[in-house]
Amino acid sequence: MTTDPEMDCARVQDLLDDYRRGSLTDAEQSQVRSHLGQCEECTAELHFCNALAGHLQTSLPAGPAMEGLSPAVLAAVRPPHHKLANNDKKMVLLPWMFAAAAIIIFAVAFYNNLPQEKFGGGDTVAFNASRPSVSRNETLLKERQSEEQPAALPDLLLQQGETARAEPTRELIASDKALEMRIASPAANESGVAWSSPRNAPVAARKSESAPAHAAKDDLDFARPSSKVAGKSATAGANVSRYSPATTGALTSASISTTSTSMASTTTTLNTPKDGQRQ
Amino acid sequence: MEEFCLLVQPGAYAVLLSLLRNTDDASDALQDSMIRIIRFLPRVRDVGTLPGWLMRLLTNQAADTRSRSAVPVVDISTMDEGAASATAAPTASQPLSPRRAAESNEVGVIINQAVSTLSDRQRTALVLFEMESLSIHEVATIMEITDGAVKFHLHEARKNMRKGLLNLGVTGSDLYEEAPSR
Repeated sequence: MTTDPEMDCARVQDLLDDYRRGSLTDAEQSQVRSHLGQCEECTAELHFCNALAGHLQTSLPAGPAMEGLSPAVLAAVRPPHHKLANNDKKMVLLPWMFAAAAIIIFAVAFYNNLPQEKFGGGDTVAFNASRPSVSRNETLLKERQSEEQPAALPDLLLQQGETARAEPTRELIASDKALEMRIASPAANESGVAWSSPRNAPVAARKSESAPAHAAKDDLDFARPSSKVAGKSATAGANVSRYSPATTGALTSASISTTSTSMASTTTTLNTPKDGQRQ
Repeated sequence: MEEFCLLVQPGAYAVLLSLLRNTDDASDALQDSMIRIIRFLPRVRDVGTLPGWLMRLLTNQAADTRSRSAVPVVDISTMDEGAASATAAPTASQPLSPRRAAESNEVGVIINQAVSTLSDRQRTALVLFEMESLSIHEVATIMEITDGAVKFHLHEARKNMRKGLLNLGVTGSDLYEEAPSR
């Protein structure tokens, strides 16, 4: 910065824009002002700059009144589930998916509280519908074995129940076997009609439990100690197989709802509210 | 976010119109700019940087819009009067001869024509400095260049404007006489 009171034209024109904005120090402002008072060329340049600035403003074409946001901008401003046009259908169904998932969860919890037969029977019937060949062969084999040694059934169930966590298929086979046993036994025939429909199985089984059907109740008591162990350990395995895509019948909609719920939750995660609503 | 957009939109449109000198281009650029603001505003952490961030977004958008419209840049400063008159002004409904424009005092039309011939950096520096009343350093921050570079672009812009206006029959003194009160 020069302290010479006499600035040259080059220096003044270099500082002219800062001078016009008042960005110079007091000393520099004073020096530029002093030079301008003595130099026509620099004064003409200053006038040209000011005039040009004025014409730039007045020569602007008249624009339309921007009173609102365009539809495209509004669509961008809307909450995330409005922005994703491709997922509109999923988002509309989202509450229903959650409701369906909640129903399924409650149903599972309800079934989990029931004895093993009511819980496993209905599901195994539906499950077997998708995998008839393998499980039925094994079931028939186990049935033959169990008919020959009915007393070994509870032990067998207990052993298989303890390993059900690692071998869910065996647990279901054990359930199948228990089911086959009851169907074959006279006592089970009292609730045999109840077993004919997988949906009605748990409800009918509960009714039979409360009803004075001692034979059926004995069957339940007979299987209950093992069913407690098997039932709890079967939860994880049975849940895995129950909600597998291979499940058919009554559980197909459940698997679809569960899958859709996970997809919806993923979508929700990708579109957290804070992204579009922070101001 | 919607309230913020309504607040910002008029100013954004004004800046874009200043840079583009064309209502159609400015409207297109405004829509794109608003969508970019909505999309990228959550990433701005320091509120103090918001004005510069907005201006930078708008100037970049104006440059993109201008390149998309692909208007051939004609350097009228090197043309003779006949050729320059054949160049239609972007905002005029019909080509205006420089002599007639000067006589009818339609300096504004010629101003827009001359501005459209500037390079992107020259036009951006000139518009931001003169129309937004920003300081040299503020313009430098927005354009992400040095203060010295801003002064250079301003100098070049005014030089080319003076040449172009002269070619269209408008002298510096004409500007002074027509200078609107600011």
